[in-house]
Amino acid sequence: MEYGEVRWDNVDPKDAYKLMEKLTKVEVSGKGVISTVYDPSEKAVYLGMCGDSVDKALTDAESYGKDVVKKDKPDKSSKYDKSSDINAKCRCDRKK
Amino acid sequence: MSKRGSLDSSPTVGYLGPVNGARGGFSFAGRGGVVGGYSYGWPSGGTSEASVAAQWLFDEVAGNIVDEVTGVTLTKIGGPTYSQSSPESLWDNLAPGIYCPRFGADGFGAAGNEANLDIGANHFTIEWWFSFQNTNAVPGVITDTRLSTATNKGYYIASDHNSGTMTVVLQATDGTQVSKVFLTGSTFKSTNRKFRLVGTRGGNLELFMDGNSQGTAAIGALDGKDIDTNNAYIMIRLDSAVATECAGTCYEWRLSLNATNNSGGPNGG
Repeated sequence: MEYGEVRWDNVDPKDAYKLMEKLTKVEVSGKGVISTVYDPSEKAVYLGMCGDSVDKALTDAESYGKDVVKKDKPDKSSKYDKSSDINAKCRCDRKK
Repeated sequence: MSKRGSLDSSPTVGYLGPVNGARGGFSFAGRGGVVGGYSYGWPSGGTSEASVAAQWLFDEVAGNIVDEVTGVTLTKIGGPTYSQSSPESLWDNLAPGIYCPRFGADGFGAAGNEANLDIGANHFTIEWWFSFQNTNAVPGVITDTRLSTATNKGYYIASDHNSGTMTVVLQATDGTQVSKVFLTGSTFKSTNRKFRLVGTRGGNLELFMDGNSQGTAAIGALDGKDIDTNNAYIMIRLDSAVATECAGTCYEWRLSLNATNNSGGPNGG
């Protein structure tokens, strides 16, 4: 299994729901979890997922996000800390 | 709304208190004679436990459905089919159920806040026994308490039967939202499943299917925050937005607060 995560900043609340709804529909095969969180104080949407084909799913997720949140690209360098969200109990190994 | 189930299984344990990391924050010690079957009010057996906030047994023969705990009534929507027998012998003591064939058209609901369905800032356990009879890849809604599908405050649980995913959305009154999609790796088509969703505030959300964990994900973003209900719908979305065939038969839906209740099921439920 693989693990992937990404974050969008400066997301208005009215956009957050639409983005999260789209993100939950990314296709990750196998067994795992897709997790999205919206923190209104930070105006940030976090996506973390584990399963198979996560790389492709992340690419899809970035594309979905672009459709909904036009002003910012997702930040793949910043840590998806909110989560320790998909954690070891998810029974997947974090991608090195 | 009559009580039912195994009253002589001599269950041996109750809620075991603080989370201990075992099986998603709770542990088991002994199960009486319950193997794969249903035990009403397990582990107490035969009586509703104090920690149960709301419980529907779907044993009405017509009309609305009535909660076992305080008599909250959810109004019939569309044309559910009553008095469905339990699927084979998998779920001993669990019958009848109610079949809602058309997602978006059949189910039960009440508009506005239902205090018994509020999660608040509490730990929670939601259980449902479900027989999937649909073949389409549409979401089969288990529960929807949201304010609206646009603003989304409340909680929402839905399955995708083709891909075998269970989506859980939790949104607090301050707008904090978490959404978890559990990928079970198997289809739900024409299967009978016992689900148990355990939310440990300050910890994880964990979904069990037939007693097996389907993964965990943190819900720390919701710590101390109020997860309210703005509507109360079971087996139907609040907006009835999509009408297509078929959801399935529900045999029990139960919410417990600050307890890790378990009404049994395959592999312990």
